[in-house]
Amino acid sequence: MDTTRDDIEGTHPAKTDKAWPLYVFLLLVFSIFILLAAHNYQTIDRELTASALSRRHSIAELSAATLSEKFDHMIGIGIALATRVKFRELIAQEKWSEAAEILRDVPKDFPFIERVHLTSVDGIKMAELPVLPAGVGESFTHREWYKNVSRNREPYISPVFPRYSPPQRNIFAAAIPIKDTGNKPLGILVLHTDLKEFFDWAREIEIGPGGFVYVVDSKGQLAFHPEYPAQGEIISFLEVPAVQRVLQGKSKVEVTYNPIEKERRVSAYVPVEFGWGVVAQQPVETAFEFKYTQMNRILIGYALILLFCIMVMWLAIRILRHRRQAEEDRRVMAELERRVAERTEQLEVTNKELESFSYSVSHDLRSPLRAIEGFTLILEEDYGSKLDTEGQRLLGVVKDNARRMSMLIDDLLSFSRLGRQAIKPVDINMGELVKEVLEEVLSHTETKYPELVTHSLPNARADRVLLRQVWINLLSNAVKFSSVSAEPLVEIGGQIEGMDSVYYVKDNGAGFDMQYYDKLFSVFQRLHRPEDFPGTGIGLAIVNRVITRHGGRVWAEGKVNAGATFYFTLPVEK
Amino acid sequence: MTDDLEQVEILVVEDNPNDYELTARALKKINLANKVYWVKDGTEALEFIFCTGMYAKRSPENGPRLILLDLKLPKVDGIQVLEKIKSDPNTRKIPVVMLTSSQEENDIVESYKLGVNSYIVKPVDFQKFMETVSNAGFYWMLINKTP
Repeated sequence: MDTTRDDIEGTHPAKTDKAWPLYVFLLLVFSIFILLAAHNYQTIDRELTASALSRRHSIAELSAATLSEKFDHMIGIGIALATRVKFRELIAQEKWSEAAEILRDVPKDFPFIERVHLTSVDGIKMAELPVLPAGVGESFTHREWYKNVSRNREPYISPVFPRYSPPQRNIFAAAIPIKDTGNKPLGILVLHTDLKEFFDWAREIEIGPGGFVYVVDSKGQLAFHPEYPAQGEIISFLEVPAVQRVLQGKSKVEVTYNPIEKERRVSAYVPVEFGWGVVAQQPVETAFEFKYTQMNRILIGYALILLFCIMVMWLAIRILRHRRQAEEDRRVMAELERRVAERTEQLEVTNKELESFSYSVSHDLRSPLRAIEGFTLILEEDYGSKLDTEGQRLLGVVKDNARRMSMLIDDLLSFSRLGRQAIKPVDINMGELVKEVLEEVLSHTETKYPELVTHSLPNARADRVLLRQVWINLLSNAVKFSSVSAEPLVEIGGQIEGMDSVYYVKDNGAGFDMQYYDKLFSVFQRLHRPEDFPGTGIGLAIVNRVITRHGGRVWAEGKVNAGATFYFTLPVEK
Repeated sequence: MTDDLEQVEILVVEDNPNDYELTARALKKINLANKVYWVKDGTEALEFIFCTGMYAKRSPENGPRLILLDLKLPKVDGIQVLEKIKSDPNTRKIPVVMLTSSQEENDIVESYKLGVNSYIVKPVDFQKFMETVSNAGFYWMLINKTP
């Protein structure tokens, strides 16, 4: 029996190992999920970045288009002025001041045109508007615009430069060649542009927090920057990579380090004609703020999903474990039950064999016994008169013993029959059964009647005939053994305790020595001498047999000359 | 002992001579002893009843009018003898009293199924035994006259 447990336990590890494909599968699903999530995250990140960048590039492009249009507008104005017939004639006649007079209202009409110069083909200032005391004669041959226009004979927008003549300020110039009808150069019309007025529009462009548009000229100098004053020293942004690239004519948006601001910036740059460029710039943090928010939301979402998945998995694994454990338990239980059933069956077979043996033994014993008794009687009948008193007594001893043996055999037979009889359970009203049995027992009682105390008894479901025998045996014992007491008392009671109904019969009679308790419920074992109390010693063995067959237990407590209490249980029907 | 050709009132089928002697003594007490015939096993019982074998010369007319049949017999057992008697229309009407030590319920049920007329468990108590056998013999022989 002690190996049974090990056998069953021994199969445990093999069973648990079977779980690994599940874990691999879960891990695989999990990995795929994480990979997909990571890929998705990257895609969204890329798309949002691209979207943020392209928005900034669009702004840069729009600004560049605006600037280009402004340039065209200014050149348009210049050409319109330079091609006036009267103006040209006056220039051709070198009447510079009269020519300038024609342009008198230009700075008024166009607020961004601050001054107008007229220079000769040689770059000498011949006239100006408004007229200043410094007067004419200044040479501009070193100026960018002069070099360009005299070379190309096309309108030109100069880089930003500080004007020497008062009012000294940073300007850029639109230089338009003045030609006669035969395309012969006559001079140059120079329009000085006020930076502040000209770039008013750029200030209005919205990029987002910390973002703005700035404009550089062909030398990489700032023509407009919202954070730098238009006047004062001219600032070069040549070091800025975005500026370098836009001066090379490139149009792009990228995240670059701005060495002047000493920070990374999202910079979109678009070149404009005459070597100028527009840069839309924003700090990385603010440019990608929306993206960051979105990405954070996605991350939180992922985290929640992940958490949920882990919880689900944890739960699933727990449930699986429970189920497997339960299955395992069931298996172990089934195995145990099988073994118990097997053993019970073996025991039952052995029991049956023993019972049929005792049956046939007692059966076969009856016939010689009958002969002994019968022939003794014949002897007594036919030859009794020839025997003396001693002979008669001896015959009596033979008869008595034969009768006693007959009783033993009958008891043995009925005991062995108990084991083979099928139990037919019925609902029994215990109170009534006990009352009925008591009446019967007392009617056969020749000894002193005991005082009876009967408590209420729980009802039972059992074989009525067999249970009746149990009560008969217990109650007749109680009556028999209590008769030695001066005031015999028999108490009967019972109650439900858990899954069992417990019944007891208590008497205040002869009792028994607990030392011989083992013999109490055995066949033909007696704890009292037959001359004190008659009986074969089968009664309690029958009680034990019947109760055991009903799934109950029997036990007793006793003390010599202080009475005994016999208990038995029956399972409570569900 | 009676002659083969003589009228037999009671056939006792009993393998145990002691039991037969006790039975015979009981029957003697009600004055039926000289009409009793004793066979010791099932085969002989069947030969006697159906007038075959060593009883071929015997006429069925001569009884028996009652059979006391022990259950446990050598060769052919009591249940088989009972079965043969009760399945033959000529012998079916002869009352059969099972006389046995067996209290086995199966034996009793089987016997009644086969049409036994009475079933007596031999008590060990001789007095009771005598009474039982006498009563059975008396009843079947004197009161329950067969046609």
